[in-house]
Amino acid sequence: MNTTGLRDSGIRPNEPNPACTQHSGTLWGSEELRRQKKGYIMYRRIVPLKSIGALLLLGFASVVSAQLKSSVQSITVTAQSSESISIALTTGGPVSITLPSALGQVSQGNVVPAWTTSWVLSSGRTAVSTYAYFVSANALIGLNPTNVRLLRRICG
Amino acid sequence: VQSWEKTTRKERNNVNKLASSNSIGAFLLLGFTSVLSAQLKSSVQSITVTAQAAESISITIISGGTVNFAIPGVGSSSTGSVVPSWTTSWVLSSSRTSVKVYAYFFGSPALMGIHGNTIPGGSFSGQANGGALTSFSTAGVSDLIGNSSGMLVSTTAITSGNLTGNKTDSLALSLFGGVQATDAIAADTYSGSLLIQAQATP
Repeated sequence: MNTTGLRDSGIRPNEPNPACTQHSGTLWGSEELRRQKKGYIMYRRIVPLKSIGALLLLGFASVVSAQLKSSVQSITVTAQSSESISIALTTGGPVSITLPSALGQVSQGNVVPAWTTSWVLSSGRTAVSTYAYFVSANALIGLNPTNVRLLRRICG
Repeated sequence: VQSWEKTTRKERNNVNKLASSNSIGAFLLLGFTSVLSAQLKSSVQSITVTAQAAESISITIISGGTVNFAIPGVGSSSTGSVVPSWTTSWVLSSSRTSVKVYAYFFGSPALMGIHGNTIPGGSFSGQANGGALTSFSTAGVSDLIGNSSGMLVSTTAITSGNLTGNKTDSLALSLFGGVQATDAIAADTYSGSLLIQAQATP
């Protein structure tokens, strides 16, 4: 008999809870605890599985979205340049020189010749030298063979 | 007479009953035969069937496998002896939106001379598919590779209509001799490799 004035649920201590459809008929409290414990264990198992799943999904997404590159094909490129060196006159001749009238005198040419030396060299070269010279022992030869004179003292 | 009539009526009833029983038996036999001869089917079991084709992209050189240059003087350029061309082929998934093809010299310098001289990648330019002349630069290929000098040759948009496709490109090369005397390319015999590579994005 209900003497508390509260509505009677109909559930008595140590009786199965009719609201619990999976109740096995054991004590209500211990069964609930066991289910909670089981649920917690399942939760502990599922969380790592979810993490692994997330990582796998991330990896899969990464693979799917990765840029795809072809293998490399090669074209041979070569370039050659042989060494060269050249001279171009910028102010040329002729250069006329009045013969000195006396021994010991010096006459200057009427123009000063100039030129540009250009080169393409390999890295083994260390210097470029420019020379001016007469090709033969007789620098100049007069028209009159009897007046041949050696002009050996032309200086630059 | 009454007895005879009673007997006859009884026999007639028996005959009728027998006939009814025979009919029912015939129907039952027919049903039983029908059950015996009906096709017997199992429940359905399923086998998953899948098919995959991996994505692929490749390049095949068609012509111009070797390009030769005469070294230009300062302030001038020389063009390559041939115009290399190649075909890029691909099989892509629908997530791809473009295929880009690059030409580049890997690392630095681009060409090495037998006497130890070098030509940097920035001395080269390319005219892709008859388009504008473009100088090689690290920025030009930074989406593909770092610390290298080159240029983007072509970009092909990928749609549902060309997930499997190909494209042929050509690249006319030029070598610049430098702006001033200190930039001049030293006399030497140089060689290097121009690399062609394609990339599908994203």
